[in-house]
Amino acid sequence: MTRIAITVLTFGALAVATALGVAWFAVSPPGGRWEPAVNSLALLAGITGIFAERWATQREQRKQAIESIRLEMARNRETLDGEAFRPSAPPGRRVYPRLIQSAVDSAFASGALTPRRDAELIDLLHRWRSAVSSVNRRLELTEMLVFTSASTESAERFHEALHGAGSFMRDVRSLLDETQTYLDSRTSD
Amino acid sequence: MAASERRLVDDLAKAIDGADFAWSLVLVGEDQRDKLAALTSDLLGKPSATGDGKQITSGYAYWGIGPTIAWAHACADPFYLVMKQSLDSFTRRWNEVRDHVGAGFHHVSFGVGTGHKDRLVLSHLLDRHPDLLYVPVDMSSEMLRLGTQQATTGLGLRGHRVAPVQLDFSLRDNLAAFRDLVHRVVGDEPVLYSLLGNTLANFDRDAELLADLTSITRPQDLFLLEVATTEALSEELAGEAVEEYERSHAYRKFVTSALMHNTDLTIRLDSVRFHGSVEGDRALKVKVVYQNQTGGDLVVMLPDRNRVPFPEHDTIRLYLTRKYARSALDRVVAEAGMRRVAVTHSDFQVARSAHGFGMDLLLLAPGGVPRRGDDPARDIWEN
Ligand SMILES: C[S@@+](CC[C@H](N)C(=O)[O-])C[C@H]1O[C@@H](n2cnc3c(N)ncnc32)[C@H](O)[C@@H]1O
Repeated sequence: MTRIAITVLTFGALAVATALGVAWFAVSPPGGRWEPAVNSLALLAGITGIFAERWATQREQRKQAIESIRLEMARNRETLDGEAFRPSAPPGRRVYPRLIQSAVDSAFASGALTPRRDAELIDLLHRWRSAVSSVNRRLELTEMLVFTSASTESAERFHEALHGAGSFMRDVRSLLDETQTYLDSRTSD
Repeated sequence: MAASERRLVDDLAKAIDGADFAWSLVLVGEDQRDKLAALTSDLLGKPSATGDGKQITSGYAYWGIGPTIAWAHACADPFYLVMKQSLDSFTRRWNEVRDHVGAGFHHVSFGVGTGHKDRLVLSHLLDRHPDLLYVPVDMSSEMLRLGTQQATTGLGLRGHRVAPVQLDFSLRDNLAAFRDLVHRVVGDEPVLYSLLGNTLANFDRDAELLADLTSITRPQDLFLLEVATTEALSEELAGEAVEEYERSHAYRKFVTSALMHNTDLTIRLDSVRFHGSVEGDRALKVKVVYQNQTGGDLVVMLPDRNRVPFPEHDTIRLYLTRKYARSALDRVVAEAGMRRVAVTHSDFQVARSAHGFGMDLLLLAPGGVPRRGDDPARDIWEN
């Protein structure tokens, strides 16, 4: 409430001052016009300055958010390509590394991405977030079942299921590919 | 069954159990003259330098006392890796899958060999079913006798509960007759069938053989399958598989023993050749052939006095074996209409074979792929 009031007051005052400045310019005798002219231009610069500053900050925030998402994706790629997730890794009891999503989360929380400009990216990231939490939850279940089972065969089965043709991990990998490609294509803007 | 017939069987059982002599009651399923005719016709094949004409098919390679003894020697040879490793690691692998076999099982073993593995299987089954029936099946009566004794001596299995069957199990008609026999004897009680020691790999039509063998299982039965496996497939690995067999002198003696026994050829061990290849996306294949390298044409005489020309460079395929790609195993099993209940793998712990060769022991049950809900691993990871 107060924010709106302050905004209305500020812009209202600026608008009134500009209007008065213009009127003053009109009624001034030709020799005395310098003062109202300078006054009006200064006001105009002040108003545009506020918007320019806002715009620049937002742009900077968005750039930072995308950059940290890009880094996070690279980290996740390393994790997925790492020893633990390699089909050739020896099957056995292990604690798997997890995928991370903090940069994505904070990008959403800070509002650095705007639906107007980044609709496609936001959609991708929403899908990625839910994939990551799903993978992490499945890994947790896997570890729990493998560690509580007495047979090594159970570890093998999970190993095979995880790397199998119909495994959820495939979708996760291709979603990561898609997101990374999208981010790379956006480097220019 | 009339009372007098029952008495005969009872008396026979008592006489066998009570005697100090190692009697064994063998059921012979086939006329051995037919077998000899089949062997002869296999040796009449066209000339081929690559082992695709004349051949000694699996079963005949073990047929008779000479090959039986040679096989027992080869199994004890530390250079014959597949069998050595298979025997050494069998205890551990069997221990890992055996808990999936419930109580009350009878045991049918296809291809007893030396009987060492059957012994381990039997001693576990006997604990849970002291009155079980053990039915070793083999084409070679000598192998049957040797293997059965090794498998049963001192186990406390009474003589009349052992019913060796001399039969070529690669023939479908034989299997149909055998199935009826087994089912009549055991009724509805469950049977553990086994095909161990990579025997499956010795057959040209291995997938069909497995399907035929497993087709006699009923829902309550289980099937134990042991095969040699490889992690990957390539010409280079096929070469390494060849090397593995080439190294063993005792193995060469074994593969040539059927020739020695059934022909008048003078055997030279350096005329044994090995050919490795990749068989599609499923296995590494090794063909062992005997090549005429005497520098002249020979004529070979067979036991029925038939004479077969054996020209220079011609070959006789002595043995066929494979290492299955581990990734293809599920498909092989599924095609045979089975699903796996448990599996264990053991790598060859030899520095020279760091390439993922090993043995897999699979416990199978009839009925295809497990339904969703039977397997938490798939439930969790399949989307
Ligand atoms: C490779 S050995 C395996 C022996 C044993 N199961 C082991 O694992 O040590 C194959 C056995 O199957 C038997 N055999 C091979 N082909 C056969 C056939 N067509 N019919 C019956 N027995 C056969 C051989 O006589 C031999 O005893």
